[in-house]
Amino acid sequence: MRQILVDLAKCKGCRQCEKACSNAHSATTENSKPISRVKVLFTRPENGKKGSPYPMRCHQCEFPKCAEACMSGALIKTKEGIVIHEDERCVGCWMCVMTCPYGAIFRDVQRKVVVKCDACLHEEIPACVAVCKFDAMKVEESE
Amino acid sequence: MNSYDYIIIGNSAAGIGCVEGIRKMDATGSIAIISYEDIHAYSRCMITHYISGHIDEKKMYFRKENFYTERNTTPYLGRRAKKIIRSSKIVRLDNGEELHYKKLLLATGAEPAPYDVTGNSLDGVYFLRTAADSEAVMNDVVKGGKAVILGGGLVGMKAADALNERGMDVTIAIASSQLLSQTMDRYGADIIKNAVESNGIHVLTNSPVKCILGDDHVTGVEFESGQTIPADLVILAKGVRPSTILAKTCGIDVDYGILVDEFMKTSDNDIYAAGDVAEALDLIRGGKVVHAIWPNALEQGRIAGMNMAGAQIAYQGGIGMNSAEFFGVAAISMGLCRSRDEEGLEVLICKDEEKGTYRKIVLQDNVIVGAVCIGNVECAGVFNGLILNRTDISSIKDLLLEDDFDYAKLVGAGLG
Repeated sequence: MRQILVDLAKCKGCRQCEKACSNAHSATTENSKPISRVKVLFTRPENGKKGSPYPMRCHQCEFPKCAEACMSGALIKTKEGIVIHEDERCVGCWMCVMTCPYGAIFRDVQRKVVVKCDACLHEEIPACVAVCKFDAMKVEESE
Repeated sequence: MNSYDYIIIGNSAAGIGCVEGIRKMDATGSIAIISYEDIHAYSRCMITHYISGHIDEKKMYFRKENFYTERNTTPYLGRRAKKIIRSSKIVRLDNGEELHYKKLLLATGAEPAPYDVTGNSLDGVYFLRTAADSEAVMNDVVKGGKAVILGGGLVGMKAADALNERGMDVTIAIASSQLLSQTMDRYGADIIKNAVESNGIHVLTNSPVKCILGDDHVTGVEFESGQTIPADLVILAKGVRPSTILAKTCGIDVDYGILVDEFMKTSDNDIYAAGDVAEALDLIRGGKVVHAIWPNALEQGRIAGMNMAGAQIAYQGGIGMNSAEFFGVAAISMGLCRSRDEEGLEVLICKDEEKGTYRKIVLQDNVIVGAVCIGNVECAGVFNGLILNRTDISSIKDLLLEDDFDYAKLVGAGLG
């Protein structure tokens, strides 16, 4: 299965991954503003300065709470180990938002569906990984 | 006689979760799944979306149509399991056919709580539980007609939303003083009440019903107060209760629901139960309880299935939780969060009336045991994880109500 891994020590919090992700997924969002499936979060601010960056993306849990909570069947864990989301089945109930312990599922309020990291399965290299200048993100393929 | 390694009675979340759980452990064992409903596995939570017209019948299916063939599972749809004969491990169907099992799952779900009031069987009065119910309601929708929903739980609220969307003039009538009184706190429920009322749905609180009026077809609802309102369509939405009849008649231990241990096993070593019918471990309070909600049903079914196929996976316990959106107001509640649950617990609250956001965190000894998020719901899942993991949040307590609270705050505090 494909995992996007982050080396926190190398991440500078530049948020280029967010922009690249939005762009990579802009074709599927009709007329609404594309939303990144990776979000750079920050730890507690210290001495008035921003905390350390933490690029949040789907962890592709072994037993994903989001998919078990998904009442419409829009979220499915594939045999390849990736949790995929089908927009056309989503009714915007936010059950997955309620159950993802990482907060890695994001709401597209305009379209009333969620978006989440799909590991850019159809690309050789995920957009966030390709854009990262600091080598903080990498993709790992395993059995 | 057909014989199966696994038989599952019930084709909804717990039953399907069980098939998936079995197949994680056992690629070849034979599986049969039985349901009295003659329809592919569909989501009961979606039937109001069907009534509203947002989705067609096939969009109610929560698994692909090749689900059974892909998992080498034999569906017996439109067949009701009538009897379980434990001594010979046989399930007898309504057509007399007998099936032999090695392991059996009871995922018989729940049925609408009876509503014992005069007029409850008039034409135009409906329960709303199954796809067939939703079809019947749909065929009775008259644009401009009057619909009365008796009950203000999630099903009643979603039905009101759907019928309103269909152009009916909708009233929700409840005996208590608060909508969503089983799952939401008072302040959160008031925000939702404002949202539905400002979108044209009427809400009558403190209005116990005296009777439903009409000769053949419903014409109205009369309340104890003497007030009468006209109705062309009435939905009885007083919640559900576990469908335990099969379990009771075969003699396994039943309390309110079917009692199961941490492996989802009943008092019979070869029979498991999961979902809305199962009385299983309550994560927060200990003891056993029926949390009849979709996520718990699927998880319990999956765990039961894996254990039926030889695993020894313990169920961590469930919490009550719910999420829905009403007229643009996203509302999530979980754990001990009702106003009446708060006694002796620490409660943190922030609200912004202008933005329409509200967040409440309920703590017991610095462990989160309940939460409400309205409007800004993005971090609800992080709270959920903290509840399930019983994390001591002392070091991040001052951040819990911040707008930008998220998982990174856990990571920074060494809790991630």
